[in-house]
Amino acid sequence: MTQISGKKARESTRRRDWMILPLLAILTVVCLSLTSEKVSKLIYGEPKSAVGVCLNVSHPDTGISGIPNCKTSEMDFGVPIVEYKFDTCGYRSGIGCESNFPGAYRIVMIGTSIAFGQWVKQQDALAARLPIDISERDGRKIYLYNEGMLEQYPQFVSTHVQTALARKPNIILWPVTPYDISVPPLDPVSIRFLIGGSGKNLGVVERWKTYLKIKVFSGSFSSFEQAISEHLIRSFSHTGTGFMLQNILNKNEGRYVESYLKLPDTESGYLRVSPSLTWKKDMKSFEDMAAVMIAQSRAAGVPLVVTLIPSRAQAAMLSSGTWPEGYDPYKIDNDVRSVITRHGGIYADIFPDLKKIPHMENNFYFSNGHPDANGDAILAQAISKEITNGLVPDLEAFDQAQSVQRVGK
Amino acid sequence: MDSASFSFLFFGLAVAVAINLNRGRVWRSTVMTVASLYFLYALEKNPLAYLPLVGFLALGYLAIQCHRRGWLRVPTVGIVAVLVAYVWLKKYTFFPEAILLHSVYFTLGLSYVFFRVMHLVIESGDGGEMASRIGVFEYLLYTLNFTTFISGPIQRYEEFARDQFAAVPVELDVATVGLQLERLVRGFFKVNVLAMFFDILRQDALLYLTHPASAQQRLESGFTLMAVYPLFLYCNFSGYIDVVIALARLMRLRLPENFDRPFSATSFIDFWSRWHITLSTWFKDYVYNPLMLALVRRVESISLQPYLAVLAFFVTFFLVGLWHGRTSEFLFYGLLQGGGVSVNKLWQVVMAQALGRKRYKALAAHALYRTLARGLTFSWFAFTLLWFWSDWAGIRSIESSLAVGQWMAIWAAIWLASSVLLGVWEWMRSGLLALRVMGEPILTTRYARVVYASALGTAAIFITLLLNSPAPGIVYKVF
Repeated sequence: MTQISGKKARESTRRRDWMILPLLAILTVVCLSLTSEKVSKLIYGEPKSAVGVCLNVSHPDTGISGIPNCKTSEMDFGVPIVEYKFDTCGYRSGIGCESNFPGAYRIVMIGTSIAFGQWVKQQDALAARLPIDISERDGRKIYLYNEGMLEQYPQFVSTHVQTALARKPNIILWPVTPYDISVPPLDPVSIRFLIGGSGKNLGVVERWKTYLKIKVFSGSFSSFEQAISEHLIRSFSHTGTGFMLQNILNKNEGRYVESYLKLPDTESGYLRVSPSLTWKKDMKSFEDMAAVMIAQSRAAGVPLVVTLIPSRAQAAMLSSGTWPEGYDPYKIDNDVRSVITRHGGIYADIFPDLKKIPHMENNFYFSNGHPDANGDAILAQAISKEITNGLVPDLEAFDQAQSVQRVGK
Repeated sequence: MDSASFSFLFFGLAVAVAINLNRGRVWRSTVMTVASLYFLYALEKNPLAYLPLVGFLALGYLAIQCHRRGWLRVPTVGIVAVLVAYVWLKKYTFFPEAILLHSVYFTLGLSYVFFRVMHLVIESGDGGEMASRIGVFEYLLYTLNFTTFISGPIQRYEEFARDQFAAVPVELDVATVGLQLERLVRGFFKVNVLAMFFDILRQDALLYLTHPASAQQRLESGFTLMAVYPLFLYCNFSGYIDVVIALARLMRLRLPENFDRPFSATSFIDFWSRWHITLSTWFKDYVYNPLMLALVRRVESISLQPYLAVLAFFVTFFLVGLWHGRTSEFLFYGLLQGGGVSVNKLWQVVMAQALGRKRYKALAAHALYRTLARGLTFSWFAFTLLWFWSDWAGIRSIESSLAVGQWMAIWAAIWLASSVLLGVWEWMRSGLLALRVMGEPILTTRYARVVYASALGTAAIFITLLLNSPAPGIVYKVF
């Protein structure tokens, strides 16, 4: 009797375990995930973004534009809250639509997030530093209209040249990033998906198809599994836990670079000595886009100056002066130079200056790869030095006496 | 595939599932053979690269048969032939360059194959009962079995055959499967997270030590560099062993344990009975025991006999150390291992003579003595490992980065810190294991195991994915 009841009890325990143990496993995973998210957010802050309220996203022809006089802010892991204030013209320039500054040298800066000054206070951003630095070298009053736009899709930068020319600038400055080159022009449906707020303006099937096409299968993956795993990694790395782990594990510059180089080709392929077919195609698209932009600006008699801003990993490679075989941080710099000069544009090469900065990667945010305030200051110095050394006609570094004379004029 | 990677794990689990589709002996052995051959193919696709290994296995089999049939007048000929072939293929530096093979060939796992072959050759000499049961198929399956091919553990043939060729396979119930899955997770976590983390610490420390840094940074780096490597090595090796033991068990094959909490050891002799157990057992069986027997036969004085053990220990562990590599660094490493164990034995002999056996036993059981001895054992092992992971140029560079006094301070700090930390660890462990529910420690209940396996598994998967680079390879696979 006792034996039978003991057997029954064991059976019941076993049946109960089939329920309890999986539940316990799920509960552990959930608790662990929530705790680590909480801890990471306590340490690094919680990303918050309300930039959408200040962006007009309903222009499939011109991309994203800012809403005039709008104010918003955002923060990211390890990045303090930053405020963005759009002027009367919808740019983060502080100048508004005013373009009549007699006697001043006028620069219009176009581009995406780095030109906009994302993650940096307005007074510390590249757009604020550049006129000061150039003015110090050139001696004249410099006005820089910052028409860079955050969240902008790179292909819309090319359609912005005519708008920029309306300011009657002396030059147009276009800081380009490897990201700008890696994103090829999209078809109209994908544009509608992106511009229309993740496809709210599309049908359900079309929205999902486009989502998978843009967000999951945008790279050159060898298999479905690879595409999914890369997507999962990317999604996880944007969580608080993901950021915290990456921050701890990739503190060492060499390891960070090593890890970065193993990212999918779409993200780190530009550092290869022999880029993939996808990257060659992307570079060709970039060349086509740049050719049109240069032609437009030349027709108006305005030089288009292009400069390549390195990625964080690229900056680390430049500073350390070492990189694994098969990779070269200068490769894309040389390619962009060749593309721009071939079509009659001006290329400002800042890499020789950046390589002299120890641990340049520390001047970029780990979480999003954008330059921080120090980074923008260094970039501004390098760009101003480069464009005032005779590269751009009528914009040259003068000695002190000449500077005084120029200001007097 | 040559590490505790996702692909190795999935491969092993797939083989385990396939093996369990049928309980028959032939089926299990066939699946294991196919899996082992595929495993080898995955490691090296050029068949020509296997020729030296094939030759070595053929020589081994020939030696076994010659021993068994009594064709060799001097039984040691076969042993010497296998030994010479092994050191020749491993390109030990004392061999003239001209007589070595210069083509690229496959040597991964050769050391572990050597131990298995040598074990069979030696055992086949004693009547050859065991060897008579070994056909070519059994021989190849035993020596090339993928679960133990890369880094052991070194399993004896009887144990392998008992499970692999049993008509009724070893029981595999749900609880056992659960335990093995938990062990798989634990091993994967050790190799891919803990070992990785310790390796990161070590690399950073090495960077600080050999590049311009402040004096305090250098001291801290010196400490980290020396203290962290044993932990890295333990997690790297024992984690891999956890994975293969668990996988093999799921294939109804019981592999011997290779580690038994080595950093709990309170003497260097005790340490070697807990670290790479199958290696030290092999050397105990085939070097220490025969050597002791030979020495005792030659030295009749009873008072000298305890000192014979000191000598036998030195020779045995010198060879254990030397086995690890082909260069002079490993010769020195062997001297330090042999030196450590024999000094430890000498200390035991002298102390037992000076204090008397009972009082020495009481002293050795004292908590403070044990704590300090544990720290000293760890520190000595950490010190010897310098010749294990570095070369002479590297050692000189590390040594010259700090003054002698600073190094002395670092080693004193390592001794003190390891004594305290390992002491606290032991105290905590025994305290936690004392918490019991229904006669079983709470920590070892299936509920607790599920909780920590889930936590470790989740962490391991995410960290592995995020790091986007494989964990350091299994250190012991190159030996």
